[in-house]
Amino acid sequence: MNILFFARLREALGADSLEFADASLPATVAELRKAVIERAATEATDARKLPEFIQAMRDPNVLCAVNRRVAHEEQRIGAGDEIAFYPPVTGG
Amino acid sequence: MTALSVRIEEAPIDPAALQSALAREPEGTGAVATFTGYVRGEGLSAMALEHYPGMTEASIEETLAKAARRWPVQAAALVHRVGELYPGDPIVWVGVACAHRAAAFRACEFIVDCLKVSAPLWKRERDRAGRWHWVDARARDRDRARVWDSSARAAAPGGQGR
Repeated sequence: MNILFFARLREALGADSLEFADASLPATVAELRKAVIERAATEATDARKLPEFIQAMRDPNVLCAVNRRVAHEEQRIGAGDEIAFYPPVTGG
Repeated sequence: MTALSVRIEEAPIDPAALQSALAREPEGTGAVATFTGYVRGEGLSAMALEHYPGMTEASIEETLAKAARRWPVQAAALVHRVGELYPGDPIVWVGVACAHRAAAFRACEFIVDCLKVSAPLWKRERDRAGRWHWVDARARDRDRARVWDSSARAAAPGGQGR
């Protein structure tokens, strides 16, 4: 399944998603953050922007949405969920 | 049944057309409050808006539904632009139709304040030198949105407001 990234995160990663095999998907949002950081180390397209991506993924202001609703860190996730990470919003 | 409408569009916003469409809809409307946000030209030559298709709409629909539970709203509509915009372009339009003005004013302000802190939308600005920068979220937007939480508690029967 694909984990989605928006705005600064997408730009720092150099991709709008990372694919995780269902079997390797962690159980919670907090664990997924760590797994995403590990994967980004090998898959980020621009190594100079990797520190920015890692810092953002560790920032509690960077939100995770599960099935299009903001999730808390201990929320359980599973195959088939739509999961996205994004920075503080700036619309309006 | 309250009519709620959310649109995320690349096409330019026409506030006058949106207002007349909203005012036409429900019977018994005595007040329509609207808000139009524009791209400010301070030091920038263009702006680009990114959104999360599906979630952005769902998040704003939830905000309109919250407003309709809190005030006697007959109809509410919100249109937000995405893509590239220029100084002076309307970026967001909100309209609320009610029987009386007080509810219309308050619901309209509530919707804009909530949108600012909860709808997944992100701005980038292009400066006069042609460089793009992501816009930072502002603490004062979060503070404004929180005021509605505390006024809800204060207004609720048996709430903690004093």
